[in-house]
Amino acid sequence: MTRVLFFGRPADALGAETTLEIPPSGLTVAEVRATLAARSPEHAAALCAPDIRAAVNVRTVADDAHVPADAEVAFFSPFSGG
Amino acid sequence: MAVTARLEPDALDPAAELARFQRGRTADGAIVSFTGLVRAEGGGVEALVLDAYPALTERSLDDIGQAVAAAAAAPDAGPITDVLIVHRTGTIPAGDPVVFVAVAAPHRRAAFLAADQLMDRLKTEAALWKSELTPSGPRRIEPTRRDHADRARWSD
Repeated sequence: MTRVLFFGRPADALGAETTLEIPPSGLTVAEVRATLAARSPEHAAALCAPDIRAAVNVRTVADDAHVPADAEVAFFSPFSGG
Repeated sequence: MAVTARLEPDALDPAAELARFQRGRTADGAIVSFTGLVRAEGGGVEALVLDAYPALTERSLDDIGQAVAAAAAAPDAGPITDVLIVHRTGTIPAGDPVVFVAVAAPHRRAAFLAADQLMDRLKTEAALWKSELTPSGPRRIEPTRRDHADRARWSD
């Protein structure tokens, strides 16, 4: 099972984390996003906004990035520090 | 040149951080620091909640420090010796410090500019997620147009 973490608006809607079964060959970030979005309308609304980005193994990546089966994935809304 | 950037899950003590940062410096003529506090907004904000993704967040703070220390903030500003960034995470009551930055340099112009730039970058590039706790519940906070404009002041 792959661990998926949420931060910011996705966490407000979906909680801090969930798990996902990823095939041994892996998926793209876009495919992970779509798989999670299919779980419910709340998932789709939280994850498919254009400003929701992803990290794979704690590095921010684009939507076409590869997600290995044993990776840690995160989806998050814009940063706000300071 | 050293960048020290860390998250502080408990209380942040700006005076102690500044004293430690200043100790033993003989080559630097200038230290500029900034402390960010949680504004109560007339009672509208009881606390800030800052969520981190620890390794990503720490790396983002270090990246900001490195970028600012390396940047030619102004033609004759001179070099930076050290940068310190300490950022609270967790629940921070109104009035408490949430972020502390300090810059040491041989001369003050570079130190002033670097401290300014550090804060403008932290607002949009620090991997943190912020909510305000208000009397009517939590409110998610994202960077404002002003924050993006402030960041754009500094060319890469």
